[in-house]
Amino acid sequence: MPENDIIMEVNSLKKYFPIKKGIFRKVVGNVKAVDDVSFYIKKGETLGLVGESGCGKSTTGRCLIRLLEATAGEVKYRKNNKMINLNDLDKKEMKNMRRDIQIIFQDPFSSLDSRMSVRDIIAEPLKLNKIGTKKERTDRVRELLRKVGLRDYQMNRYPHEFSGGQRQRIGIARALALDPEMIVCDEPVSALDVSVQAQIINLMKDLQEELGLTYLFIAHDLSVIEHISDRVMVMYLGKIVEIADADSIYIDPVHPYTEALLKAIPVADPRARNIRLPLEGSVPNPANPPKGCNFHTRCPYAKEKCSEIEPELVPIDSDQEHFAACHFVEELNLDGYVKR
Amino acid sequence: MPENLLEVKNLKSYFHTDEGIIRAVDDVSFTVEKGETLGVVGESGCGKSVTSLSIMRLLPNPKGRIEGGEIRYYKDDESIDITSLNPHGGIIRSLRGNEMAMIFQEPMTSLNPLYTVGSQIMEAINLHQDIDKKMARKKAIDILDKVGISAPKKRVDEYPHQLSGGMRQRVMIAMALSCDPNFLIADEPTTALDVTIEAQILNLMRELQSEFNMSIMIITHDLGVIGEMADRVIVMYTGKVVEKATTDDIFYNPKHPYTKGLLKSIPKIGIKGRLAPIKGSVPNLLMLPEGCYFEPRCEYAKKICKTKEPPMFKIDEKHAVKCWLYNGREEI
Repeated sequence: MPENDIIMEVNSLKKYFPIKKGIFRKVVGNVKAVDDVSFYIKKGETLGLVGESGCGKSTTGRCLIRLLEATAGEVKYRKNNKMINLNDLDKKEMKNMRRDIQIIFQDPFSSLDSRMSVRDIIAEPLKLNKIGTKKERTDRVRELLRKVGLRDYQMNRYPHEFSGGQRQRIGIARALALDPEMIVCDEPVSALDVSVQAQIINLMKDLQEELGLTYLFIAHDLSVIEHISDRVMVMYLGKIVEIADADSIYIDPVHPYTEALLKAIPVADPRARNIRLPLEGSVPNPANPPKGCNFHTRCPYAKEKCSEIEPELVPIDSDQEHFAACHFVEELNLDGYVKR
Repeated sequence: MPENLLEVKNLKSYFHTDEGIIRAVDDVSFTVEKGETLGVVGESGCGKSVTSLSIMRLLPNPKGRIEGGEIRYYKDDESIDITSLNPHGGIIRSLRGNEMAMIFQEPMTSLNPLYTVGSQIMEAINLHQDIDKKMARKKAIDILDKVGISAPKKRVDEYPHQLSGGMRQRVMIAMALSCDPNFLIADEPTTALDVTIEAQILNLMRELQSEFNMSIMIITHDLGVIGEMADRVIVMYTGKVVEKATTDDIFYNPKHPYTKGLLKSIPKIGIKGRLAPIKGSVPNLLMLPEGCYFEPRCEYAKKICKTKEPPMFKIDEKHAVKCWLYNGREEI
């Protein structure tokens, strides 16, 4: 499937965290945070990654830029028209590669060093990569601050002098310092007030258009994901259950978990109030996932086969754009959020 | 005419800090009717949580203080002003639990990790009801069953860390309901929960409300939760109520520029196009502007807004708004 417009291709990515017990810290099991995940990201698109806590969405994001070392699998990135497996690179090569792939974090309060001025925070990636003279770097900081909607005179201030939304803007400016091609956005608006969240979403969309950025946008808020994403990937308990373009996910979901997520969204409209039958139970322990399909313990449509055989993520349409991991894709007729 | 269970009049709760006085709740008035769900919505620092802590008399001592106003709670034909009570006295303690109960956002930090969930529920029951240990245990198991915890006989002897986030929030609700309160304050009850668990908890609250005929005050920043749960809504901004109305009017006929801005800021599924955020951010409560506190962010601001704080103007019997755009209408 790799085509020219694919910027990143992830094959069978696994990240296991060992569970250690006893005085000899013997490994007694593994938490399979990310378990055999494969997908691709197209250049210039926003791929939304959604799921509940513990589904492995942040771990996946971190493995892509090797903030966490994957247990197994490939993360191939297109560089000079060659697909390079990032997991094969040594430290120095990876450092170079991080110029192209940056990350923005959720918490604008803990992801900025409180003892560094905004100028130093934003210029740090340039300094580490020995780019420009001091004056050139300061000019670049000015330019970046303006780009993210801050004033350049604010560059000598410290993070505590800014509000949450402004701090997230600083985080974005830092991520942009090296002119990256792709940014992993790990819940970038979850900690912000509603009115400010909209400002940051608009800013990120504008920057994407201006700079041709590719985003992997991780969030648990399904409305934010729908708004910003071209394609959406849904994860449950370390596995991808469905990937498709955003409209298909929200109008024609084919995986029961996607349907359940959409049904659970509280609707900001008192006239659309309805009696919803929420999904029962909670996410199983990832150290001891159920046999067969991970979701069968909570799935309202589960049959015997689901507790025995694990479904594979397979294309369900002829264009090979919509993928789902469910035995009964053909039989089920599920409801989307938006009625057509 | 619906009966009021709670009337808050001109409530002022201030915090005395080294940097100055924070007027966290500043001249706030509203009512809670019997059997209704009142939604309180606002962003960080708007005073929504401090309002609920004032009602429960749980403001952190000595920094937080009720500086003025009245919180009148109606019981049978009598009423009591909660602000006049000793916060450590017997009357407020018997009101808390028996009459009013509260659930908090973070179920992990509001449960004691050293005690089993059963003993924490039984403690609440024993404090307020004169029954023996065996009966209290039976009651604890019943209430755990009622809030949808499976195998309650086993769970009653488990510790909080053995439960998932959703189950812990169910335990908090069980504790709050253990003495059949008439008034439940839910402060961001689902904010820390995943969306499928949130739907379970909201459903549970609705079921229990109709069963126990409680009044609920639900505090949240999430307009989705308000849309699902509330009968009436008050919108708060920097310690003030800026709009109160029925839920339908808040969503379909909002009057205050802040309420309108909030509604336009949220992404809605199925509706494409650019979001229209409110410019700027919530001001520091120590450095509030003159006049209307929302004026620096308001796209409709006029000259008067910079200098004079607007009163509450009446739109109709159930709808009022604190904004100069409605100058000329009856003040309340």
